[in-house]
Amino acid sequence: MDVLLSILTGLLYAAGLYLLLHKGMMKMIIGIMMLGYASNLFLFLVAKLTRGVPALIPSAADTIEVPFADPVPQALILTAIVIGFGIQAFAIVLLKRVYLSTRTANMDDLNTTDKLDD
Amino acid sequence: MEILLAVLLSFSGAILSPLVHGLTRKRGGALLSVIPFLLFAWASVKMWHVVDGATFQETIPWIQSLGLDLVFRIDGLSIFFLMLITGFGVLIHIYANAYLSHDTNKPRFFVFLSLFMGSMVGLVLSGSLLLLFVFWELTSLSSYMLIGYYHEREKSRDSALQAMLVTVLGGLFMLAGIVLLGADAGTLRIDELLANPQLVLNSPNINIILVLLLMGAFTKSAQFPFHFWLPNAMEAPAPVSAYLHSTTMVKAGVFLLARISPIFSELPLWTTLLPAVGGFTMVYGAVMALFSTDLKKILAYTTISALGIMVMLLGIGTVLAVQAAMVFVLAHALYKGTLFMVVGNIDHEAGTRDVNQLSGLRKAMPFTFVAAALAAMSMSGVLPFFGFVAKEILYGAAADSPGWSYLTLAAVFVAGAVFAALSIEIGYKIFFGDEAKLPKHPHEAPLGMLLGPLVASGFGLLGGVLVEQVAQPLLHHTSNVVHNVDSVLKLTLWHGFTLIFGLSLLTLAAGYGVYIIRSRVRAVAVRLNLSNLTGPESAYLQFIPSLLKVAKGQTRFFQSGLLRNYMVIISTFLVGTIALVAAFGNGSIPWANLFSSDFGFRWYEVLVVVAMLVALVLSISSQSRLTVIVSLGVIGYGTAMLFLFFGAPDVAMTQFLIETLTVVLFVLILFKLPKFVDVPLRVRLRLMVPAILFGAVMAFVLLWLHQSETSTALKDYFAQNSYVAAKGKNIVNVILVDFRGLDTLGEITVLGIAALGVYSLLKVRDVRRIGS
Amino acid sequence: MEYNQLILSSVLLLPLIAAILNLFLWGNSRAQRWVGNLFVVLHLVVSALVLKQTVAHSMIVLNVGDWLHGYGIMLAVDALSAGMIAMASLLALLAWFYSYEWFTSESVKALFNVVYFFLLMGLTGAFMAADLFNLYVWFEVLLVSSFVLFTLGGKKAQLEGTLKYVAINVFSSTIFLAGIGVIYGLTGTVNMAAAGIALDSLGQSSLANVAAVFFLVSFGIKAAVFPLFFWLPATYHTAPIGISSLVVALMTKVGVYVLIRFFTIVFPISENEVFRVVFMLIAAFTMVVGVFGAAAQSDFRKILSFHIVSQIGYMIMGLAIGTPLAIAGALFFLLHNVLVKTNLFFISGLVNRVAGSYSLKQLGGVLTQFPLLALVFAISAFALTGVPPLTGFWGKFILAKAGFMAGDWEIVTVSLAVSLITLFSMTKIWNQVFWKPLPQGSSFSVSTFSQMAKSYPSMVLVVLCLTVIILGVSFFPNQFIEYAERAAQYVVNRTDYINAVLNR
Repeated sequence: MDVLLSILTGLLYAAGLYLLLHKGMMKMIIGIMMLGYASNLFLFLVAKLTRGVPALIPSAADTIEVPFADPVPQALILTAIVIGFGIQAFAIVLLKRVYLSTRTANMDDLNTTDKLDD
Repeated sequence: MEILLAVLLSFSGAILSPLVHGLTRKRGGALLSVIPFLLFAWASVKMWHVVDGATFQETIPWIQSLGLDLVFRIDGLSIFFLMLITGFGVLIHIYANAYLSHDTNKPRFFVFLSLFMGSMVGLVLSGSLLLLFVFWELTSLSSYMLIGYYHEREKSRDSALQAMLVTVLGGLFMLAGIVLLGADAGTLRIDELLANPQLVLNSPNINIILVLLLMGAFTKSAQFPFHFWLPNAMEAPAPVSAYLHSTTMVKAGVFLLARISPIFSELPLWTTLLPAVGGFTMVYGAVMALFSTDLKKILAYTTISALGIMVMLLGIGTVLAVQAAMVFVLAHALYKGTLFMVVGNIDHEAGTRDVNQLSGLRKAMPFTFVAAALAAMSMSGVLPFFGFVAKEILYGAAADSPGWSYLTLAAVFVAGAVFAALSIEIGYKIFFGDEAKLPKHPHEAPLGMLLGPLVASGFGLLGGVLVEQVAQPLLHHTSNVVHNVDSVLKLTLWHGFTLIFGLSLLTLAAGYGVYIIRSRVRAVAVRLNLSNLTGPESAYLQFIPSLLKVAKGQTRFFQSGLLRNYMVIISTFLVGTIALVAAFGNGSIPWANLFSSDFGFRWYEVLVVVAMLVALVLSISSQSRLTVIVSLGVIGYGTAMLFLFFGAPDVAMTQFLIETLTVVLFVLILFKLPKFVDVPLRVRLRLMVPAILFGAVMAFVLLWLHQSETSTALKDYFAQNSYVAAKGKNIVNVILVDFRGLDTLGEITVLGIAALGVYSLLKVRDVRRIGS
Repeated sequence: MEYNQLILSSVLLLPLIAAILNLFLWGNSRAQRWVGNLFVVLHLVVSALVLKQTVAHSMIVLNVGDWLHGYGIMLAVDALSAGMIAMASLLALLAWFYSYEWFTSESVKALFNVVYFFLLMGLTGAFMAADLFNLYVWFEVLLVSSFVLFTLGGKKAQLEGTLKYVAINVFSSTIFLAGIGVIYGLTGTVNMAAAGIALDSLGQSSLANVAAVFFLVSFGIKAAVFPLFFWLPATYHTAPIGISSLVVALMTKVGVYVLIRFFTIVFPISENEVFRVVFMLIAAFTMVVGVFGAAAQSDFRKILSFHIVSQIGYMIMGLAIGTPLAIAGALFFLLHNVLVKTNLFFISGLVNRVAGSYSLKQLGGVLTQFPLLALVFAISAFALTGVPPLTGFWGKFILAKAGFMAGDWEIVTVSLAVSLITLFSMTKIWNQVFWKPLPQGSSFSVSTFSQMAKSYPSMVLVVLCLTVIILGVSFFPNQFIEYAERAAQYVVNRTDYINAVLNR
């Protein structure tokens, strides 16, 4: 299963980048979101997978016996998810504003700021 | 401290100029001449001690971490150049004040002039090569400002830039040489290097160091093929040409050579390269001078030729040659400085510098004529001028040179003849004959513009007559420093009827001959387009536009404005570098085990993964917004399910929540946007290549990572302490709020800022909405 | 609480407090201003105190939550960090006052006064983090603040530029997170010091190399090195200049800082031949491509922004050579670049205020009209190109010396050649803006320098202050160089840092 999930993660990364390369502005946002899923899964998979045993200390005990899911990546992912949401929300609204002020949804039209002027 | 104060004083005009000009606009520059005068007086006092054999040195700590202290040194060589710089400084200050009397920017001119003079003073007094370089670059910089003084003219600006680029190019080579020398010899202090030249000579890089240093000297002293900036620098006002481009700055290269000559002069490279470059420059400059008709160009090219002579002499390196070089430095400064000021007067009062137009100025400009005639006679080497002394010793050194002496002698003879011919033209032709019709009605220049040329040319005469009393004691020590042995300089005006004297006479005769045929020579030169044979300059002129072309081309390529290109380059770089370092790291890649795993499947897990894969394909390929959003939801929820299956319920819950929020936001904000842009299949396939490479590398890294054992120290610590120390049963939560609480603070901050950003984007605008 | 921990936590939390106060003072931009004035000064003072403590103790560590060293989040400040924080703080103060006269709209002002301090907090945090994931969090604080600041006012070009900036940075963060994941997978920790020890025991294994590449790319994007610099020239010139000069100057320097930190403490490259070559190439190409970009432009600000890229190359060169002297050179160069480049941007902003343009074609005659401004520009411009005895020369010299001593003469050659082209492109500005007469159809809104100073008092004051600072560092660089040498020595000699963080 871990092999399958690794490949899935790779595909998510690939899809995310592919969509970022796309002309369409909407696709770009989807790409950003896709990269977010990929990152979360990646972080999740760097630790050894454990099926179904969350890192919860049983009510009767002070500590937990192995095996249990590694809590460290989970904590990192939680932070990353929330941060990612903030950025995605901003990006979505920014996209809307860019569209409103340029009236184009084609990323290729947005090259006025860095083109070399002759 | 004394020398440092002198150096600071020499810069002080840069600050005082605006103030002094505020007091007296008319005489400001003349008043500032007090500064070089004081310095000259101080130098004269010092000279008495130096003549007695003293050397002064002082060290003031400055940047110890770089081994750069303010080391100053006064010896025979530096005192000679110091007197030249400050002496001419006085004359030029007075001259420039009159020359620019109607110019509103005069105060600024004196700022740059003082900056230049200070840099030159610092340069010749430096007791360490690095300190010398600091001042060296400052002369380039101040020269840039001075050449570009008439900055409204495009030609001035271009010439200033050219001069600076060429000399700074040389400076960079020189810097490399200095750094290398310092690294190998362990010191950059001149006293230590002179005391122990083996420090440098033992370096394996000795020849590279020498070539690098020579690049600095050759560019500064306008040696072929770097000479071309000097004639172009004639765009500068006359005082600048007289000061920088004949008497002082261009001689900085010669000074550097003289300074390092005791270290390097035994090297074969030194004794071949210097005479070759100097000798060629000498002849080339003379010939180009003959082809020119603009008085300033003539002077510029003869200066190039004269600098060639000095370089050649230092390269020959015999006692006599070194002595000749120093004598010639003085002689040349006296007559060439005068002539530049004379030409400045003519240009100023008659409005042209064309030798063919000018004639009969003697009546209108009698004093200028006197100065010009005196200087011209010195230049051509007529008895009893100092130029004659210089020419005699020059011939002596050439005849005495260890190799190629006949060729050297012949080359010197050619240059000497051209010098004589052009002297006749400048000192005689333009002042006698009919009074020509000129752009301005010529009249004599004001007193301030006469003082300089008269004094300088007067010294040219005096130096000849009193050669044994004045020039000999000074230059004796100068040449001894350059040669680093105690030898006797014997300068006399009259050697008797020797072979050399015969050669001198022959030079004058040949000069007259060249003078007679000069028009025909120029006509031939024009017909063959010889004076436009710019040679090395055309390389410069082609280099700049092609540099710009390359620059523009590469900028268009890299900064295309298309996000797509940027992302492709970035991701390809990532993939490429990973491949590179993986290939070159220790240990092999476990290709065989990559896909092996004993972690089994569950049907519901596989189902989720398959659903996600389908959604993934749909979200990429579908043109329908609804499909895309639904697929996105499937992927998001699918991820959450996976978290749930593998022991991360908290993450799963958060993912569910956030996913829902994002989709809602997405629909609310973006649903009204136009349809997706359609991209042809061919393009889509092409874009897939970098994306798939990227994805493959990420999957590969994950799989590879599974082959290695992870330390569980952190995990165990949290398991041990979560309840015991932090009173929490849910370890993930405890990590978030306790073990890694600071992250959570940052996370909340990010959310807050993002909210502000959303508010800002939606509510705050000072720009009208296009279209609606 | 101990004094060291008090100042360390205040330097991080002061900006947060300022931001929150200003959030409550929403709508009263005058009051916000005063809070801002107070806190930028306070932050600088506390930064100076931190700096002083690191000079005395070489390193101060804050173990947040007092967990076992290396298990919770650690903040660690050594000479390098303290120097960076102090520099950022000084720049933040200057940019704050410079931006005084820039905005007109009340709501823009209100937003600026809040988000500016979040940015400062992110910066400070990034310089203090001794933990990779914590670094990621501070990066995000910094990034999202910069997103908001870049879009302030919402002009079309700003929005466009920021969209690309967001996309590239999202990618960068993705790579960063993956890198953290790989490091955790390999070493079981995200603490830099602990990870450093664990990676040592792996030797130069291929997988460790791969992990390092993620950081190289992610940090490289921030630092704007070749071939990852694209966001910078696309965005820089779109935002108000007070913002962009602060954000870009410091964003790139944070990038350089983390590159130095990571590739000395966590993954030292000085023994790793492959990485040294990669860094050498990056340095060389960054210098060359950046300066060519500058030479190609004909806009005041765009020339300057490409120069940033080029000069980052010099700092990477120091890291690539890797000796303490080289890294000291890089650090001194960094300080030089921040001061000089910011001043040049500020001057371009002033010119823009009085002449209404950034285009070289439309500008001219500034030397004749405002000689003092020209002088101030010339000092910074020649400092940038490395004319002695100004700051840039010392940086260039140290790097060249270090390069020759390490036998890396190729990169030294490139760096010297690039400095000539830098000079060329700076004279382009001097030529067109200062020397060339004012073109037909252009005019100045004020006619003398003193009028300019009356109309834009704090902008002029900031520019003059910075110039004095630049001259000070130019003529008395010894202390700064010695400081840089100590900081470099400390990071190259990583054991002291690692031991202090892990309390070994």
